[in-house]
Amino acid sequence: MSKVLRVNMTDLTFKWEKLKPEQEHLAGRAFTSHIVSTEVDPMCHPLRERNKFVVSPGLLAGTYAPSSGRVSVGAKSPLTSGIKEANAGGLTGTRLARIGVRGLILEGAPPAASKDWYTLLVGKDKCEIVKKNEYAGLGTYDLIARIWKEYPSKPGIIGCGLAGQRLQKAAGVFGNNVENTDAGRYAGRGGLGAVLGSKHVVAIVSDDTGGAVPAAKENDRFDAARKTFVKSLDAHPITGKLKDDKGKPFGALKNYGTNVLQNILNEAGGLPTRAFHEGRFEGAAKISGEAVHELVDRTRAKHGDKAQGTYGHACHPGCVMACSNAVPYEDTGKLQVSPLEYETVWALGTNLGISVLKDVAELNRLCNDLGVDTIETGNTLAMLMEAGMIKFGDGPAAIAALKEAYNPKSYLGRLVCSGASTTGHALGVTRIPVVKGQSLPAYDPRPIRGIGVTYATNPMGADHTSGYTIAAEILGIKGKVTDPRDLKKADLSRAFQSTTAYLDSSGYCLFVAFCVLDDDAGFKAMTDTVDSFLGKKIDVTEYGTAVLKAERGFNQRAGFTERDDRLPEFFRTEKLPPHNVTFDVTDADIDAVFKGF
Amino acid sequence: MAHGARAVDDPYEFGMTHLAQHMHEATAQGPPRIEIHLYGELRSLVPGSRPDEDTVMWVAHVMNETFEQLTSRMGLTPEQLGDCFIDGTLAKKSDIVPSGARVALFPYNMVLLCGGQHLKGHGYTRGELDVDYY
Ligand code: SF4
Repeated sequence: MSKVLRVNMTDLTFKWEKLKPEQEHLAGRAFTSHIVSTEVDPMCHPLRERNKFVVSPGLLAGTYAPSSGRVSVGAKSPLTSGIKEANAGGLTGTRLARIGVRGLILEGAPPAASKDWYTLLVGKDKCEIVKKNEYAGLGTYDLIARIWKEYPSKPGIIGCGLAGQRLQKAAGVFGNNVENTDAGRYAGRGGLGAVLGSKHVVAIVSDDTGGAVPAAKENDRFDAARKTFVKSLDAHPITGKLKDDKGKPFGALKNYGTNVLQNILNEAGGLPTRAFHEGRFEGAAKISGEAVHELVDRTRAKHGDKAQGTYGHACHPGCVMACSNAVPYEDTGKLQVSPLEYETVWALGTNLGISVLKDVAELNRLCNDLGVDTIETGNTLAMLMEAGMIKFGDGPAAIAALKEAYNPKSYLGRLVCSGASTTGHALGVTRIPVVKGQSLPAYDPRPIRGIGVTYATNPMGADHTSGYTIAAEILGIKGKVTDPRDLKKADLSRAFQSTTAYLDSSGYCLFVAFCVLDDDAGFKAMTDTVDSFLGKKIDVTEYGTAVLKAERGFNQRAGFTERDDRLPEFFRTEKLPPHNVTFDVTDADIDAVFKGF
Repeated sequence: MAHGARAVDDPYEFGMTHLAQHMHEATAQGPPRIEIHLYGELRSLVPGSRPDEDTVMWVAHVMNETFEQLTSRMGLTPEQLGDCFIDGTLAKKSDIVPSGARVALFPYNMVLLCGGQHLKGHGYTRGELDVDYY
């Protein structure tokens, strides 16, 4: 029986609550956005006691459905001042789900003068709020190692690093990986790490001792569906097995990770390069997924058993697609960072003109250790470059700037953790790539205009995953669009955003989409797992639309209008080579996405 | 457009090895050519290529040749190909490859992931679709 844990950080108390009838089918993003939109005053300061920090494992987390163990966190965002949900893999989704926790709501905050820091220990039918001042101020690599030493049950951990503890807007929520070697499983976006920091909580530790695999209402149907789904995923060239029958690389995600996109977007001319000045990067191949694959093979050959690099790595127990990786130092074969994925390589590499793989991985490691979102931080460093304070392409200078963040007295250190908008404005930059205060990710909206509409309109600020482009045919929407630069994007953007909201709530990783896109049996199996788990038929679009409505409603009450659904001016005025196009979707077309919401 | 007999005839005689060797002559001035960027297992068409560097091959341009004809001339079948591009635009089988084009060939297991699915519908990874949608 799922329940909700409500923790009050003002008086350090907690209580268990039953799920309300209207919450029975809500989990993941649907749950966090439901709580934030119904319980948080949209006008509250996001870093004070009236905001709430909500955690919810996806609906199928903890079950044997493949790649379904994601966990969502939500709050009013200090970066966008609107509603926010971010999700990640790691252990926490599975651990919480197996002890029956559908949601964890952190509310209130210790008095402003308090210097105390806390850790939350959540177990089966138990919760402890433990004062742990010694955990504050640590880098996350040290922090997670200490926690596992102290709690040998191999718990899930999510928390905030130095940046979150200092209430900085680029702070993400870290999560430990399955091996506890890296805190790189980030629900990174929207500054939610700072919300956790405002509650004086460094870590939420979840222990599933005594727990059980959540049971589906229609168990036989669920079992059959999940098995069919595994087969579909395994057979697909994107999500499938590592090697084919001849021993050649097969599944793209397992072999190259999401960073297979580096070369593809480069060839498409939509890879934002050097702060969105160009659409192609001459150094893309050096930092691509293929380059990481080769580095791993090379260090394995050189260091044998001592080599810690890998690809085909699962970010949470039960992920069969395994797009994650562990990048080794070439000279020792030891782990440098895990994972190194596309958006990060773009933000900290391509976007900064840096093509030295080791430098990009080091920037990623520093972000993980400090507790900041890589996309936001990459865009922030790009503002330093745009302002002429660091040269584009200077990896060591970017690393030195980020290391400043360890010094609490460094102004530069504070700035690099404050997000691109704050930093860009402070430095007099007029090309700041943000929507609703949040940085754009790794697809330039000028040649890829549909994603531009999603950046502009989704309630979370510029976010590719919110309007993840599940193929239109899944939703039964067909048409005669023959040019990707076609301008009529409203219906599709809305449909994709709804479907994404459904997936973000199910616990499934968005990447199941590649398979369900190409395989009708896979799509049916996926929806069957959800329906049989709940014992009722869920309409994908209806479910997702309800989530979006709650989110848009919150933002409207927070004062957002259509004017906030706009890309920065320079995307309309500066042409992006090689296609030499601007973003010229009309405001009316953009506003059509949520007309009548 | 200047097309010598060699530019028209030779390409169909080239086996893979010859094509690869031909690459080394390609930067010299000569008949119009197409610049082909290869990825994944297709890099093996150029001996000595590395996955962390650009792998580029130049082949002679053939007037009015379609993308399907070009790849077939290279000995590649549609099943071997993922998302491919001509000058940054997703290539369809019937597209004419212009002289001097930059063509990018990705193998079947390299396709656009999130943010790019709308560029699909090109007839390779999912043949029956007639739409380019998100
Ligand atoms: S495909 Fe990648 S991101 Fe998705 S759940 Fe698996 S390892 Fe995590």
